Amino acid sequence: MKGIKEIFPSLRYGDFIIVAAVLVISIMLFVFSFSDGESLVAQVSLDGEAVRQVRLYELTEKESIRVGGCEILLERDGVTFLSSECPDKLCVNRGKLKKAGDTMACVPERVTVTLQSEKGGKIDAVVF
Amino acid sequence: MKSKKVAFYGILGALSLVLSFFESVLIPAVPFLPPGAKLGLSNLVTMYAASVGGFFGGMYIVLIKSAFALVTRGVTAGFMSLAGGLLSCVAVCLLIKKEGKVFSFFGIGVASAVMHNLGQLVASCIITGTPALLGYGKYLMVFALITGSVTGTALLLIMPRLKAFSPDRV
Repeated sequence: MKGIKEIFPSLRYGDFIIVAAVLVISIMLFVFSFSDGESLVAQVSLDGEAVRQVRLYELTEKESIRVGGCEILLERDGVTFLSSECPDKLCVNRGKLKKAGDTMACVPERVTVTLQSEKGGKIDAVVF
Repeated sequence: MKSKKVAFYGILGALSLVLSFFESVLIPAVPFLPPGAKLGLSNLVTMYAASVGGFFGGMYIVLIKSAFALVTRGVTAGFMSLAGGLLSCVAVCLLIKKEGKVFSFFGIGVASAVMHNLGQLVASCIITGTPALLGYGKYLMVFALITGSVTGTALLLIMPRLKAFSPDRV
């Protein structure tokens, strides 16, 4: 085809700069946003009532809190039950909650932790 | 404004609206597209108008497009169309001065698509008041690279042929 042959000779070096710049910027955006994770919000409840709500992505360092008989560690990337006074230690063995929707309850101590994605942090739909 | 100019931009404006409609029919046929993704065929017309009539030439088309979006799809759509069109028109006008030497229409098409998406993204952040939407930008960037390559290639092939018809002064 005559048309296709016209494309390559008419390209200029500036085209490659533009394409490379767009690629580099988007790769950087991907790298940074993946290390950042979702906009997680942890809700800690005792007896079914919210005790604390923490925006994990706003934490600058690890924070550990005591709720009921449980010691809970809050980090940017998730929430862990460090220790509990309960007999079965199911909550401690569960490990780290990392994703929105993850929930862990220490039933004997009546402590629950729920991870939610912050409203607006996750896109349901964008209409143009 | 001379009547010739009115007619010229009127035809181009109509063409851009038809292309917008055409691609809105195409989009549902392609699976796995991120929301808001568009091929940007009507952007071809903006780029052509900007190359013939400069910044204001391109802006006539942008204004026609966003006025049409305003009337048919509401204030939000009109504002988003205007924001995207304005930014991409600025990008085209800056780059087109070096067309043939530093850039070809391929690169201009890519830059225009990226700026168009950027403008719409910023507009949607302003409208919804959620800066978190900016995180969506990375997908739009990659997508603009693809659509910009397609429209840029099309422009590269169309422009030499259109030059024969372009009025010297509009």
